[in-house]
Amino acid sequence: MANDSIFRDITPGLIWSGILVVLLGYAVLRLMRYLVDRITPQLQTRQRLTLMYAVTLFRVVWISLIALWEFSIFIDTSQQNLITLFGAIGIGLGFGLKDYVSNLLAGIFVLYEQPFKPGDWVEIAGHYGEVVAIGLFYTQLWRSDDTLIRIPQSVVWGSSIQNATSGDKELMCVIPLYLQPDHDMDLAISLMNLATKTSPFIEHHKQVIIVAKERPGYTEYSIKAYPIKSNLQFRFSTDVTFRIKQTLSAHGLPMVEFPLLNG
Amino acid sequence: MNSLVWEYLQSMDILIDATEIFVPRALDGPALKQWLEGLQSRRRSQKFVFRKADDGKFLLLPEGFNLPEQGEVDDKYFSRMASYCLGLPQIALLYWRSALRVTPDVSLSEDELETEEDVDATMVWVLPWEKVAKPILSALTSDEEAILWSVLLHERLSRNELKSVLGATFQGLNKTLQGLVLKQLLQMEEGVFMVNPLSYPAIVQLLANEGYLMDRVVE
Repeated sequence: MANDSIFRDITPGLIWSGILVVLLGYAVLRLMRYLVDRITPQLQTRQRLTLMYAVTLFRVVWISLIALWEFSIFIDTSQQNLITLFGAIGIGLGFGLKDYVSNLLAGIFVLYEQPFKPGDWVEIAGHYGEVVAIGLFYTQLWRSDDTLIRIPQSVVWGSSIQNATSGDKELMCVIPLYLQPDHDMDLAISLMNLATKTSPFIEHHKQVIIVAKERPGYTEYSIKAYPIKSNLQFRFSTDVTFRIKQTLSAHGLPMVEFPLLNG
Repeated sequence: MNSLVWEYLQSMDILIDATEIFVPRALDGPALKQWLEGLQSRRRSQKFVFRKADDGKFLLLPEGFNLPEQGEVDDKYFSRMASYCLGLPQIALLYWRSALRVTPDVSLSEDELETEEDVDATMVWVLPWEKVAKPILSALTSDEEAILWSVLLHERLSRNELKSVLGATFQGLNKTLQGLVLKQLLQMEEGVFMVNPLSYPAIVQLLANEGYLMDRVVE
């Protein structure tokens, strides 16, 4: 008599095979984590980011392979069984697992499309931070206040994403400053330029750009410069602001007290 | 003023590109060998023959000294040393001194040692270049990199000068400095910090790879 079940006949051997495959999958992931933890401290920034991205991709492929392997061990993959199985999965998804699977599918699309990579500075759904991991279900961001944010991939896929680095380590910082309108602009720009370039965190190979705009009651300056590493952006901005304010004050160039921002 | 300062001033637009800067040429392998031979020839009272400790190949011979018939010369030793030391003779000399030994490796066969009897000079054995101890730099923190770069730029800085150069956002300077001294990347003399010369090539390489302004092209 033909077996109508979609599952194969469960035997101790089959169960052991299933367990061994899971253990193998787990062992490889643990080994990879161990190796990555050992290797990454020896690497320089760019190499470290490339490795992080490669590891993420490998995990996805490996977990998929293990899942398929398990599937082929326990499921009798005849045409009728597959139709029955996918029908059941469809009903299950429709009710209880919708969010779970939509996250999973969005995660696969995010990994395939690569709108960002580990190490990029991005803004997703109002959160700005450095991408530290891209998993199947979540993208993890480190915010500047040292908080780890896990954003579901379905949210990532459905949001607009602002990528400040686009896979490159260079990130421009825009530092605003407001001065009283009656000052020597030539001197101010020259001092801002020099003060910015004395920061120990500046990328010297990039130019410093200073933009001035006349506003009602004050002059707005934007200092555009690059930190040596993107994760130093806040420290760099603070350092440059401090240096410029110090030097402007020493030369008697007054900051505006109450800028009427946005007109 | 060191060449990094010139590069820095140029990046600050204080020196224009047209400013002519003359920097001593970096020594390549043959030039480094010639320079070390010159140092050796100053010692007229005693002659030295330098041979590799692992295979007995000859590295440096005193002036007017003929290579023994069965002797072989290692041509690449000084090229590798010059390349690692960025062509800087003083740093190469420190590594050269650290490589000198009074006895060869036990692995050296009697045939290879035979030539020792043929020469009328003091034999000095030299570690193969790959066995000479060099600093291994794992990734440094941004604070450590900023300190090393600042010290390189100014050649030597006291703790207070470092505070002033690094700015108000820099915290934990003492602890970071202590760590750099323990790693033998910095050395302190009379309260002033400077880069350990033996670590200089590795530090320059690392900072250049991380995008810091450097005074020489590092491959």
